[in-house]
Amino acid sequence: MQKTIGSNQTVYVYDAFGLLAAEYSNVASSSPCSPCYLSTDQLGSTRLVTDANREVLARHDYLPFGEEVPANQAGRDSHWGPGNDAIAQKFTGQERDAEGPELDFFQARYYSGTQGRFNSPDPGNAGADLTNPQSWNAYAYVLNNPLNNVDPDGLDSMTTTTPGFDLNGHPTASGGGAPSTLGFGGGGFGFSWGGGVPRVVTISAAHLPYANGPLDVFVGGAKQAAYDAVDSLSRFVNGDHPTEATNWLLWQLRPTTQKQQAGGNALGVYQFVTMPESFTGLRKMLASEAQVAEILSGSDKAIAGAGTKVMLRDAQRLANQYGGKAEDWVKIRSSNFKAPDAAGFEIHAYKNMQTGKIVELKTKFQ
Amino acid sequence: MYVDLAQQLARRHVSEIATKILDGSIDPIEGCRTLLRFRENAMLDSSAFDVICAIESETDDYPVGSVRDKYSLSFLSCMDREVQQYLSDVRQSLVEACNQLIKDVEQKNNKGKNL
Repeated sequence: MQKTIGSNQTVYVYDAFGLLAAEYSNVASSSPCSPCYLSTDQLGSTRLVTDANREVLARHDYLPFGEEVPANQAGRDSHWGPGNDAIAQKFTGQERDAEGPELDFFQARYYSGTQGRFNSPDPGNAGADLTNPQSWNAYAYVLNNPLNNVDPDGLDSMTTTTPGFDLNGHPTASGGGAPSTLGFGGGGFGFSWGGGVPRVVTISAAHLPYANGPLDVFVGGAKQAAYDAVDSLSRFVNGDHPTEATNWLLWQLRPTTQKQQAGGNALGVYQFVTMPESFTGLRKMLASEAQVAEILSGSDKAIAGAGTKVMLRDAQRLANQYGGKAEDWVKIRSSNFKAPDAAGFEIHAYKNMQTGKIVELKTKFQ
Repeated sequence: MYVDLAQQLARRHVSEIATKILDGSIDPIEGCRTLLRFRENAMLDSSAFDVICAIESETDDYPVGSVRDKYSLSFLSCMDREVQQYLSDVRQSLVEACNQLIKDVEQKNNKGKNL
């Protein structure tokens, strides 16, 4: 998706689940941090922005329907409110449009936090449910229950706090557990679930490269180090004993602190989350994020263009549109992810081998 | 040796579709799309799938089958021309990949029998 204002162009890349994965622009970034670390609440709203030195750059508070509370209100200092950062992800992790009135881009339509309503009707009445009159209003936001529900794509609301249901709204196998909350910054999405008991494991570990994805993204010694680190610490986490390990997936979320060392390895505190296999929606979302990271970090595989057996059909168009020579462009792919429900997908993109520029990411389903 | 039934079926499909692409009884693009659906289950670990994957990815905007009814004739004529040219350019790679897949399936089947 591309936005053009005069000569300023910004390209937004979304992953398979409609979440902002990358943003490219010919305008210099006004962000005070690079990278910025986002901490979210149970709705996925960005509440805290920190830089690589763990300095707090901005804090955000919202009224129930998403209107941001300005700075210097009710004991808040100047860190609060808009204007301290250039982060677009705001209420429930959706992007706040910087150009116009305060509207949030909810994929299918725009939402006004000030009004607590979408500014266009529900496309095709996608979220309407005959048995729930609250859903009949095509402009209403999440059944008028914004503290418990979110609407990731502007089409339908989903609960964030109902115990016993997974992200897809399906009952979890064990069901009925107390809800646990996890916030995923950066991906712009936060949620909680009941049923099984996901646990966040925070460990200190050396020699792990930075990554956001399953432990399998590590290779060689780093992979072993990752598993060893988790194994050695998991015994301290109630229930995460080895006999249970086969039923749980271990994901590294991101280092909460990180210090670059010689040789490209990092020393820091890492967070891992364990989750039952039943969280298919979550797994897909995280896998998609990991695939985007894989593509953007250069851990990809060329499948078409120079050095491969297949000609790149759009080589000349890419050179015309993004620069460089036609022979510099190749098509790359990420690793393939197969979800427990048998859905498989991977990400393809074009890459300029001379400049490293990566454009036009797309998710391929199989 | 126990061979997973889904894997066996997927391999058989891979071999059949690759053969159909070679003898022209299936549209090559449709063939590539179908082949990729069996890639995971077939577990062949064949580099030939990279070629199939690339051709499919390069032509995924090309309408095949009944969906063509929804496109204008001028668009279809333009796309047909462009994609046919592309397919003739990658024909040799596609043939090699299909032959490789058939060979890989045969090898896996023979290995299973010997065990």
